[in-house]
Amino acid sequence: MKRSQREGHRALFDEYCNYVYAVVMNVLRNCGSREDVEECVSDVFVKIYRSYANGELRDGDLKGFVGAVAKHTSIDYMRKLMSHNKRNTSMDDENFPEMASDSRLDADTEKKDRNRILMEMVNSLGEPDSTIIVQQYFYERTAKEIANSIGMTAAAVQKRSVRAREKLKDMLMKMGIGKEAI
Amino acid sequence: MKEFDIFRNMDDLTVERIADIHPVLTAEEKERMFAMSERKFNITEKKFPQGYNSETEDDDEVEGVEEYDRPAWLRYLTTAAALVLLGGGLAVGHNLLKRRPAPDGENNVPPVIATELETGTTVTSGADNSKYTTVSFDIDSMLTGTGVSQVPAAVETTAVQTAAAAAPTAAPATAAPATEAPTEAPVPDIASYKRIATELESNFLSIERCNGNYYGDTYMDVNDQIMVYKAYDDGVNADEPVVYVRMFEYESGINSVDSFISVYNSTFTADSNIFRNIAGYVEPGGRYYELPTITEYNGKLYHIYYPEYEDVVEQRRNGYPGDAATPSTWIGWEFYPEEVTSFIQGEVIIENATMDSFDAIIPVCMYTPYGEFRSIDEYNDNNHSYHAEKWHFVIENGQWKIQQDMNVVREWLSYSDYLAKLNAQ
Repeated sequence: MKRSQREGHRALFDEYCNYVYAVVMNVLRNCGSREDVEECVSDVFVKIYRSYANGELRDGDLKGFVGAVAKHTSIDYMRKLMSHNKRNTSMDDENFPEMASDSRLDADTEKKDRNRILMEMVNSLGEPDSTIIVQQYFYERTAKEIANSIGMTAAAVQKRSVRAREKLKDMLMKMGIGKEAI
Repeated sequence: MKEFDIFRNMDDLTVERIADIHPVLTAEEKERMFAMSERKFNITEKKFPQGYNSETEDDDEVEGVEEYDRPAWLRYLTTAAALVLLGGGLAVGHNLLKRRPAPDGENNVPPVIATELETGTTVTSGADNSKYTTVSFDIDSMLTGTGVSQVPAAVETTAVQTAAAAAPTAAPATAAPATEAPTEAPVPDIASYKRIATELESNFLSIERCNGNYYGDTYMDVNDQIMVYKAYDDGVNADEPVVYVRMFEYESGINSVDSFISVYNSTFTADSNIFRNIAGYVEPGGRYYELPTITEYNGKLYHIYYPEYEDVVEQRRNGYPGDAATPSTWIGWEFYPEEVTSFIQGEVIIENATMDSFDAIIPVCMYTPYGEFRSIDEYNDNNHSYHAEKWHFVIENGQWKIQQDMNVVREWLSYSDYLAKLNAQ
């Protein structure tokens, strides 16, 4: 029984760890360390395991549930980090994750459009440039780590990154997404 | 806000797409986080068994009072430690005072140290108004070993040791017996030398990247330029416009003239002559007889665009577009090598090590896709541009530095020669 529970956890973790990591990274990128992110991801999975054990996950959208737990846990974690660092942040802070609000529907739609275009452009850079950009600027990986993951030298990664960034800037400018937006 | 923070505050759908298309976790990271989550889950299960209403769970809630008993012996230990410190300080002070010659040669009476209770009492000696804090035991008897019964054992031991340790310092050098036992010659710390060589060579490579041997889009932003004039005033040559372009040196964090010079000075000895006129300040539009290689303007670092290699110069002359505002050798950035960089590749070999100097053979990989450094081809592994360089390291003002006279060609080795030396070790 114990073993099957662990196997269940393993299956859940393997299925959603990348997703949870990305959600947590999106929230904690500007205020937490890599260790904080990993700590928070593990907390998210503890909550998911417990919900699963309590029968709260039998029906419904599992991925949606996982995403919601990840987002709320990471926002809580961010608040803890902020208070621990004796730092206050305003809800208007551009780095503060935005909460759902009807009054912000327009802004949300605009942001989603911008993000969609941005991701299309990042992906249009082709491999390995798109991976390099995402790993460097979303996941905040070092050139050496990226180099290890895609089998290149750190110097080559750095070179491609600078080029890809310039290319991306040009594309965004042409699309009317100005410097202030990026 | 970070520069180029394009992924700031992404929406949920985009984050989901990023996770799907660009998963980043390594097997090791996954395993670490899974183990962490399992451990936390087991702890939580013990604390709040299943069925517990998770709504009421609050990790921040603190319950109960933890009792803390301060061990009784700690009090005695700290008291003894304080006494040891006080006794040691007084013994050293007393010893120093005894060694101090009387100003007039007559007052040979040792300072009187009163024995009073409690700290904070100051006693003035007859000789020099020195102030001492006294405690409730006799310092003289401590130093001479008498009155042991009045002093805790730990204090006695420390006081004697302090006095014994002070003795050789106080004794004149001539008092040492002629048959003094020979001391062992200090042995150079090869591992430490390897580390020093690696750090300083790394500095050197950063400096070289800044110093114009390395052009390319990784290190330059060609769209960010400033222009100055090289002045001649010889009645023959007109002032020549010279362009500086924005440069970056990612690895070392060099971002200003000051930081560049600082890295340079902490890397090379004063008598080294690796570069000339390495860095200084210019203003856009200014006239200068000597132009620095590196300059800083508006908080940004710029590198002179000035041909230094004759083959490249010839190429540029052929393609000179004729624009009056362009240097006479300009033909466009596309003629520059795409990237030239270098890094340390492999273990450092230490030779001729003494306590104040050593030689280090350092394997270096030069990444030269356009082959601008053809002159070192004979040393390079053709596929990887590996070679090794031998540098001399000395101590200058208490700090290890590279010593290199550029009038003497620095020693280079082929990568295979380096490997042979490494295997022979």
